[in-house]
Amino acid sequence: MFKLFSSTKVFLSRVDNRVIRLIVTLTSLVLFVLAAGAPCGLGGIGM
Amino acid sequence: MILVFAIAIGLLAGYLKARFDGISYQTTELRCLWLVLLAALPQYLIYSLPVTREKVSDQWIPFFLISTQLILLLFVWLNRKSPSFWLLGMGLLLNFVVISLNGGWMPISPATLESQNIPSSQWQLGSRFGYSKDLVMAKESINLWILSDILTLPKGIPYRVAFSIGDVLLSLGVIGFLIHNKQADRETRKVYLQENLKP
Repeated sequence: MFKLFSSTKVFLSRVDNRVIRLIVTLTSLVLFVLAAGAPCGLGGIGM
Repeated sequence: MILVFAIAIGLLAGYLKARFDGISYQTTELRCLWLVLLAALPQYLIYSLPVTREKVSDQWIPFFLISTQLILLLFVWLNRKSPSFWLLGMGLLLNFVVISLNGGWMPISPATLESQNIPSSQWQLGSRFGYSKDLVMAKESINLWILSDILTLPKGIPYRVAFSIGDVLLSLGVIGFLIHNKQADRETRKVYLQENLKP
């Protein structure tokens, strides 16, 4: 049980450093461009 | 949506470049990310969420748009040393200037709407276009018309959108930021130190 917990902990700490940081940065960038930009979506053609 | 597409391009290009260089992909850390959330949340309620956007009066929208863009300008200033943020900030500043000079709305001219085959029954001069940030204005009455939503996609693309020069710079800035790999800087520094600290 302890082994399982520690291996999960190791996996999560590895994920924390790279993937989580990248996801947070990307999410922030998406929110940033949506708030900063002002394109006017006019809809798809034929929709 | 067109700006989110720029993020996808930047991410893909950055990842492929890192793979080509044989190093892991890591973006530069940004400061004060909560400012982005602080600016994006009111805009989401005003422009996107159907329940709330119908309740917000058009009179309040300029106030919210200008104040949230000021928050974003602060965020860009705090991160001005991050790669390509000068370009991204320039795009935001151009949008902010044209919006501020036109009463808190991004102007769009009838000519742009007509060029995209939007029937005149769907818009009215002097009124907001749908739930967007745009206000339909006659070209003559637009301050700094060149910075308004005057650009459109080529005819072959089956999606209609009007965007500004500021939006283009924003997209290029985001792509530049995502292509820049922090890990590549570390590798360069390591090689430099190894070469210069040799006994």
